Amino acid sequence: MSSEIKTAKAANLILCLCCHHLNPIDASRCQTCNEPIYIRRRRSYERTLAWLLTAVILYIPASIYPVMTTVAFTRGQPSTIVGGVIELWQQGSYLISLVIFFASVVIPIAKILVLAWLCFSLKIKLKTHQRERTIIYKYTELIGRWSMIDIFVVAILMALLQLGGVLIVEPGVAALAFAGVVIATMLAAEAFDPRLIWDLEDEDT
Amino acid sequence: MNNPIIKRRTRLSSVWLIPLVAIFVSLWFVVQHYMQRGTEIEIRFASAEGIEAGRTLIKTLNVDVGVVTQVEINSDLETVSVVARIKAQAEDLLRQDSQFWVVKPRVGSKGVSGLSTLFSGAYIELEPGNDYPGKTSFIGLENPPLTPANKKGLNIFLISNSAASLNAGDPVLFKGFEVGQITQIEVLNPTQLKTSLFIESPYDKMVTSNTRFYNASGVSLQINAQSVAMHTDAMETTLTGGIAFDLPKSSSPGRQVVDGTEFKLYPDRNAIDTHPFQFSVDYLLLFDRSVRGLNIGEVVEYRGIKVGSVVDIAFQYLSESQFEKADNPKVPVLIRLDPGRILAEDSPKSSEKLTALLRQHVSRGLKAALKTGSLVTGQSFIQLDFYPDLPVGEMKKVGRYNTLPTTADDLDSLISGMTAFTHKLNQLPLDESVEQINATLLSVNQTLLSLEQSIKSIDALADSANQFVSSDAVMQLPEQLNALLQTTQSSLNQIASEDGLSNELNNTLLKLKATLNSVQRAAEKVEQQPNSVIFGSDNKIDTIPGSKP
Repeated sequence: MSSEIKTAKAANLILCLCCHHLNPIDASRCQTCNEPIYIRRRRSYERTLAWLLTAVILYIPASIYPVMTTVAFTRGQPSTIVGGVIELWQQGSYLISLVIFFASVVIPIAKILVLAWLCFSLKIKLKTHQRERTIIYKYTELIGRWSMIDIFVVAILMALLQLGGVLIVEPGVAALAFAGVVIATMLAAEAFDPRLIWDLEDEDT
Repeated sequence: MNNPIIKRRTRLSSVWLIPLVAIFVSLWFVVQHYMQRGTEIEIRFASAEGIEAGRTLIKTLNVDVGVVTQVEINSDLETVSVVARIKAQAEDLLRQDSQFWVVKPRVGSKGVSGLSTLFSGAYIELEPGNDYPGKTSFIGLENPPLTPANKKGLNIFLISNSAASLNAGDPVLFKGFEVGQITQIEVLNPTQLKTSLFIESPYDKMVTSNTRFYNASGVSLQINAQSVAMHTDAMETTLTGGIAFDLPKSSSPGRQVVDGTEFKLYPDRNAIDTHPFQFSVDYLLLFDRSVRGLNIGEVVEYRGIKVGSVVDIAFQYLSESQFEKADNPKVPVLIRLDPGRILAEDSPKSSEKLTALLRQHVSRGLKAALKTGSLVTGQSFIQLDFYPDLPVGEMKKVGRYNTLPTTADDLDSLISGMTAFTHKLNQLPLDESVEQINATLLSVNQTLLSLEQSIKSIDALADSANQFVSSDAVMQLPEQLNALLQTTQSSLNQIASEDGLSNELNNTLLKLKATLNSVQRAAEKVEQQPNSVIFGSDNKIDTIPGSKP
């Protein structure tokens, strides 16, 4: 029934994102839950781009500066994200090294690239691969939150390893920047409205 | 049902503020980082032991002031360039005389230092100097400086001919207390060493212009004509060496000294008392006999009071011609007399006064003699005294020095007398006497041997006599003798009791006597006239004129 696929917009219906009740197109509030309803996420494209830009900007200090400084006997050992990954690999903790590599390097970059591609595809009004793009979007939004693993690692290490002069873990600038990156990508994914992929004949949103 | 509200949409949503903020924050962060970065400096070390790029900290008084960013080998392949970044707040510490050294565990005679770096890793210590700031290229020290630059004290130099067992870092003592350190020992020229000392305040006030420094290392053993003395300072200096200072016995403290003053380093404690006076006059003594037993530094006395010391014993004070021409070249001894001791005035004028005074005394019989101070050690000393019996000498000039007349010592003649005696003893014909004695002894020996044999035979005789006496027959003899005696006694009693018997015996004896007389006459006659036996005697009497018939 592919030719029968219609968006709710084409059928003059608006989906309430709160209670998922279909409302007539001219309603300003949901009939069921009284939430303000919008036909598409507001300024989706714009906001997605803005957040992506933020994420990209913040990713630079997150990679350059040390995310964590291990002070053993007053001797500081700063480690960046990538540097930490390499060190863990060299120390033989392959699993952890891979996990952190994926969570902190692969996923944020992939997410930014995917969302950028999706925005780009909207811009050039791509008409093919709608299903695929929607699926990609779905998974992107799903795993995005797992990038916070690295932040949790730093936070837990910081909380546990406070051994006075013997060993202290201090957070670095990159921890904050990386958290900012993850939040920005999460917000970017949330701002993006996948229904736009399916709005082929409509005006600019 | 509400009507949809139509609102005019603005061109740019407010969400774009977020990336703006992100850019702003990042830029601000970067700018702040670069502004706070501080200066980059370069320190040259001989090796990068313990230094790691990115990790090794630079500290001053245990406060972080920077971090090493890079370690590179220099093109000369002998030194290492350590590039470090000093925090902006600490830029002021980079002065012209700031010093850098690596703090790592070190073991020395003073103990172990820098142990905490075993755990925390080595770090570079920066000690700011007192000069003006602005230097960015430094040469690092291999060892921590011995005296912190900001410590108050006195820096002085000692000139010496030998630095036996002294090292940088050895203590400087004053009356047993450690008041400073040797900071450096360097070679000035082939004969002299320059030792730099740092004396902490407030002890630096103890150093005055009259202070004498001496080497307190080891044990100072002084054997001279008067005594054998052993002197040690603190145990530490005995073992590892050090310098001590003190005022000579009869000196008053002088003026305060400033940084950089030069002093002389005396070899030991006793040396500083030897020459406490600044002015002295040297005189030359020429001795006829051996001066063995006289040490340089030995006292020169006048009747027991020290007036100076022996400075040198060498032939250099005689000119070559004197050495060649003389029949037996005399031994030159250079002595130093201190006018301060004799005239109680230590000034250049007193030196001249002393020479004039000595000239006067020499004309009255003052001479210098070599005397044995101790028969145990054989050390000699020089004594100035008046010898009125000997002919007066005079003060001459040999080379640069005035000479004093010399004479031989009492002990001298004793020794020469003894020598003559042994010589005589040598000449006795002892060999012959010995031979004779030998011969006598031999004959005595033989006599004794024969005597031994006689004794043996007497012994044998005695034995047999003993046997004989102890035999039965002899045992019975006393009894028999007793019996015999008894019978004899009784018979004698009988005879004695009869007078007649004894009378007869008497008459018989008289007749016998007459007979014997006539026989004797007859025998005489026969002797004189053997023919009288046959022809009878003439009975002519030889008449002697004048005698009665």
